[in-house]
Amino acid sequence: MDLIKECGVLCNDPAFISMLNRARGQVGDEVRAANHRGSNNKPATGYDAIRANSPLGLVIRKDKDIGYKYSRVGTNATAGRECNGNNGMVCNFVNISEDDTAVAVLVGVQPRARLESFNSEHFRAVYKKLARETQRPVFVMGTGTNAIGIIYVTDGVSFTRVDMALKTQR
Amino acid sequence: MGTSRYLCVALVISAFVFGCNASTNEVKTYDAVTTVINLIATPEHFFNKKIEVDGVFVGFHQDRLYLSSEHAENLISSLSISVLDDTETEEGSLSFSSCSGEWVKLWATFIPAQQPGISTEQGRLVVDRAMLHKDGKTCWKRTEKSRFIE
Repeated sequence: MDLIKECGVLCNDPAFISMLNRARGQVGDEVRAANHRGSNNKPATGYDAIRANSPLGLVIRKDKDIGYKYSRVGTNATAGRECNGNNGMVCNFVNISEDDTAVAVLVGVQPRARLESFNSEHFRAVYKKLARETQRPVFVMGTGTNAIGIIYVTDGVSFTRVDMALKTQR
Repeated sequence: MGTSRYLCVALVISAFVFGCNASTNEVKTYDAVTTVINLIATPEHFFNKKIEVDGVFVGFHQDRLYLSSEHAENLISSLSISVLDDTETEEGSLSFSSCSGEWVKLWATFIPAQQPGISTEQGRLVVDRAMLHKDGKTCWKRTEKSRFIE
């Protein structure tokens, strides 16, 4: 598969791994904020009906000046498209598969998704399909329970765990 | 004697009429019976309304109500509605209930979820109860009030 090869190149690029780690922090923060509850069990700041208990993602792009950059965190990337400008009401959507600068998609799943869920066939099928649709490797990260810090990558066929500690040491 | 009899009859009739009205109000708590297609095509007509809607629910952290089983099998999310399952843990959640993967009827509130650049959804369903069409049994019921509904 070309995508495995593509991810192989990406995953061995220190600049990409560095950006992936920064993006993981951003997605993790946003997922936690979107699901945060106040002390009275009411929605706290950032806890919103739009993003609560929903996987959030972003697109990592190749940038000629700074190596890589990432897009805004939202549910767009998990639908295989991105909002390329809007008039305040409606987005001008661009499919990630048609965006030449997009190199990977990162998705942070809901905090309640446990590590065991990553082994579910259905769970994997959703992200494998996203990888096939976007024609990009999709990184799927846990954000809570016993899955925090866990990251998998899928190319549409395989679904394998990435050892980020090893990657960072390179 | 005659007056008291009339009064008695009037009381019985009024109790019956008011009783009927009360039970009608109890039953009619949902504003509309609709379809996934209607929610996709004209979401603004259903925002913040309590609705009944049929579809194939897929949980396992995907939490979407699909138009049909074919759409669900092929994960065609453009013909589905996001379901906001706000249960805190997997245990007892709608996502991991016996409703998942089944043709269901949902009693829910449709809340707006429009935010260009952040969300591709128009709205999300906050479910109160779900029933399996195959046997008419309730497969999930809300036990705590949702934080997203006033």
